Amino acid sequence: MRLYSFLILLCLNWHCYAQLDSIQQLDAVYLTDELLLEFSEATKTTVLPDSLLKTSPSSLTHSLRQFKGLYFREYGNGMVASLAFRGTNAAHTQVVWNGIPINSPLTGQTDFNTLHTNGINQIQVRYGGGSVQYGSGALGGSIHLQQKLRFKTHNTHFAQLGIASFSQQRIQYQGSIGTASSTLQFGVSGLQSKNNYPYLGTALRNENGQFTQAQLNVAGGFLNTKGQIFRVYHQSFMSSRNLSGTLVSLGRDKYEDITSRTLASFSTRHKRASIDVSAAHLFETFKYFENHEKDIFTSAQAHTMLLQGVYKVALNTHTLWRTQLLGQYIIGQGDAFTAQDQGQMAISSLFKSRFLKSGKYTVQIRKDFNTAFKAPFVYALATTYKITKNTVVNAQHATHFRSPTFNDLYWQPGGNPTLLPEKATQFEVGVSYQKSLTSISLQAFTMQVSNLIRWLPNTQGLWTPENIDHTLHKGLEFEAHTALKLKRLQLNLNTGFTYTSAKHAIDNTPLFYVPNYQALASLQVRRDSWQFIYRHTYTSQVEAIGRQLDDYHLGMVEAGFHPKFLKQHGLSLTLRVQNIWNNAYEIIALRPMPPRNYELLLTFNI
Amino acid sequence: MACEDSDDNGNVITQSEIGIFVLQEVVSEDVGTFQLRFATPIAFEMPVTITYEVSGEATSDTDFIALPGTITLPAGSLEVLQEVTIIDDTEVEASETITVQVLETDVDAFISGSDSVSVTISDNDSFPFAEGFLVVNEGNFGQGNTSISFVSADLQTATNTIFQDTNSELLGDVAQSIGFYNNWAFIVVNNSNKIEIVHRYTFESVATVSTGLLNPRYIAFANNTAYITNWGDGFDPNDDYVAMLDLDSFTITGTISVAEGPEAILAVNNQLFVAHQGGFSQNNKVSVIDASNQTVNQVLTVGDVPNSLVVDPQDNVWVLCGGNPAFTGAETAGALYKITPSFTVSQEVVFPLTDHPSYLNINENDLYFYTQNGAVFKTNTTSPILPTNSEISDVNWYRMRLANGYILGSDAGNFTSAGTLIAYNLLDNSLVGTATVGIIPGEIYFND
Repeated sequence: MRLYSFLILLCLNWHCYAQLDSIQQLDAVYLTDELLLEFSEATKTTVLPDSLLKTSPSSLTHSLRQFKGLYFREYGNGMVASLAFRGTNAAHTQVVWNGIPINSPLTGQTDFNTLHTNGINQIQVRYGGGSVQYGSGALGGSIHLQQKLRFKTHNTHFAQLGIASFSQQRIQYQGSIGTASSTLQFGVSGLQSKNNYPYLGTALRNENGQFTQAQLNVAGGFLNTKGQIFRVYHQSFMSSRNLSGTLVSLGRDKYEDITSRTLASFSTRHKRASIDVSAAHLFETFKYFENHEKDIFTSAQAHTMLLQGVYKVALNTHTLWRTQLLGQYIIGQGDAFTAQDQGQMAISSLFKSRFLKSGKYTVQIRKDFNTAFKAPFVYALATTYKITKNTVVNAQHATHFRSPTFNDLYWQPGGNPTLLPEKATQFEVGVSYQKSLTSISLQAFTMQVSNLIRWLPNTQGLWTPENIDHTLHKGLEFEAHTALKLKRLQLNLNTGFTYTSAKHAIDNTPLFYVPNYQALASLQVRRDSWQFIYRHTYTSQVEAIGRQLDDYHLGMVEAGFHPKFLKQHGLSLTLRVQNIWNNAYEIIALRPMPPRNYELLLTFNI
Repeated sequence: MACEDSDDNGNVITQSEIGIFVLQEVVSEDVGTFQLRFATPIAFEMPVTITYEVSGEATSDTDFIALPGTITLPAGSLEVLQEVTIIDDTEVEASETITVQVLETDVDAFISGSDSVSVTISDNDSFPFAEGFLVVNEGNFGQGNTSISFVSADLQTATNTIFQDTNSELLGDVAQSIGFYNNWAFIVVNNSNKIEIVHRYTFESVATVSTGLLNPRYIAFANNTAYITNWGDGFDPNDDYVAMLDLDSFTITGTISVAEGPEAILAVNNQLFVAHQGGFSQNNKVSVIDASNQTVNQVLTVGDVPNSLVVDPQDNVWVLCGGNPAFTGAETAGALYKITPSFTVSQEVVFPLTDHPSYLNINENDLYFYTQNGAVFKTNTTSPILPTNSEISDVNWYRMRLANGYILGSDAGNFTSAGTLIAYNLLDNSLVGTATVGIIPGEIYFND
């Protein structure tokens, strides 16, 4: 039991990869992941803008805490963290970096504590699957990280220093220079922490949680007068983390990982049509040390090469047709399996138009071909209809999939090369209302996920993955936002509430680690040079294996001071207090999270 | 009752006699009180002071309220009662007696033939976890949900999480095995790197050994010392050891370096046989540690993956080797080995390549084991052969154990919810019963 459980746990520990499946659309100043906007009308999306990102802690986990209805499974502060949507699992959340899905081909998931947001100017969260657009893994939802290129004469620099409780320090620099025809961005960030916080209500501390991380990013582009654009993005990340133990098992292990992502693309447009060609290389490697004091480790690595072409044409003022060809080659190897490779092709076609006067619809289809397994055909049908000036209703039906990972297929012992992709069928309806600064939305969904891969011992006692589970998900997502301006005082109020039910079809038992209820409320107050934020979240009880974890409330307070007289030089000071009510809570069983803790940030903008 | 006697002069005189009596000779500890009756058939004209002595296994003021030692029979009375108050404690103890012997009186009186009584106090307390099965539920690695279940001998009732409920603390992460010594149970908790020592019948905590262990697996006892196999770091083949635990101080007093992957350990005549199953890897050794000088005095080569050991009545040690599993790319057949008291090693049975037998058990001269295709087989020590017919088949067990006349298996089900203990009668292989236990039930012991 011990060995295989250990290996399963290890399986949770990896990173980064994917396949290219997106279109980068030229706009006057910025380039963004247009696809998300163009073909997601009936999908709930939320954007975390640049301004909030700049004062956010640099790990993606912390940045995403500001979103509603997201549920992180974090193995202690700074440890392996995954994100789950709608009661699905970590491998059902695809992370898309500049339009490229980057989940690890080894594990199928992304560790959100190994992504720095340095260089990222926009984070979007897309609730619900999106396999037609983002391929395997975009089953419960997706996170989109966007680095915009700025074609305008500029020379800006951003630097930040931070100190925080438990001996945490970070440093971050991001620069951007450019003209109307060329631009270059570059940045570095570093973060380290002893992370030795006390476990509330016990005499214990988080003894083996120290980590060090560094990130480097470079991006640039050329834009000519014909509107042709050439872009390059690169991001490297490395980290060394000791892994926290539990209340009943002290941590002794360590994890080192390196990821690198490089993307080059060329886009051209002619009248109403555009062509984009992109190539990308993604690399990841890790070393797992059972004992951080010994130089004995297991490791694995994977390379992904991607090539894709996208042709898009506006057939008339309201009809858009896009077709895409994708080729991908992945090669991975490690101590648990000798070199294995996979080739993949995908073709997709997306069509969008309108009906009657106020209706829009999209039809999307995609077929994948994979050398390792039979890849499915997926589709999405979506429509929106504006029933009043301020009210839009939407409906969507789509299918999604998640491929077996390299670990699932090839891990020795136990890997099962006959696995099939997991499949999901989703239905969703919603209504949204927007009037000036107030918006309200309500979304309801149901989803069935079948062929779910589970690792279980077979009759020979060998842990092996099988397509055996089948789960049923349903839920509601509500959010409301309003803003007020009273003379010099500006108020923003955000609230969100989600209900999620996720059960095994076979016996109706609830899935582990799915809270039925989550709520978030935040108030932001700005006056002159001052900003104050309070954010409160509630997470209901969850089922864990052999126990239940209590519900918990978390409060966060942030106070920022941006002196007016220094505005030109953009100096600001931010104090943030997390878990201000000092509540003891566990996200994963027996892994207590930090008590009240503080962070002080000094930011320079030139 | 009167009695006649004659004095030296031949005159017949009549004297009163005094005796002691009780109604019941056996009382339960929770009886509250009972009466000692001091009686005479003929009343005395004067008060009579009777002196008596209290003896017996029961302890004064522990088991009963102390008695004064004298009592007065009032003038004209035929009897006087002395109330005895029994103390109803919660201690589990053997039956004890209170003996009261009349020694003398202050008048000229016979002490009758019934001059003493013994009352047996029968204990009304019982151990909560005796005469049944203890099941080690390993739980999921890293989830801290390991537990111990107690299942009654008839499998009718199961009490789960007994360590946690008795001691109000979690047992730890992945309990692997239990060893028994005196009235103690030593619970080896693998991923917490500790041993919880408890009273074996109450599960009340006695001590925790939390230093000196790294990936501990199994435990055996010799020479007032416990020997615990440890993998060390799983991926390090060179740091495996057997730890020695002093049974007076409950501290680790030393380690003995051994080959990779020590698993099962068996004490036979002050020798400790250690099967090197191989840990994360595979090995083919049995080490023998001499408990008198605490050194390895034999390293014997057996088949691949020795996973279990038993000793027969002739002190031969039988070693079941599973063989290398298929995934290693170098699959080998399992085999049964015999090690004589003079350390002669012989291969007795070779199994078909894919059988990979495990969980060797012994009942007198019969050897039982489990094979990978979900069946229990039997052979014997006198003429071991490859059995063709299974005793039990079509089961999917995580562990197997012979105990209390049963063949027991633990079925871990889906590995994330309650598992099952299953018992078959050793005599006719009929199903005795099943009981719902904890998550991933592993080793099984009878707590007799």
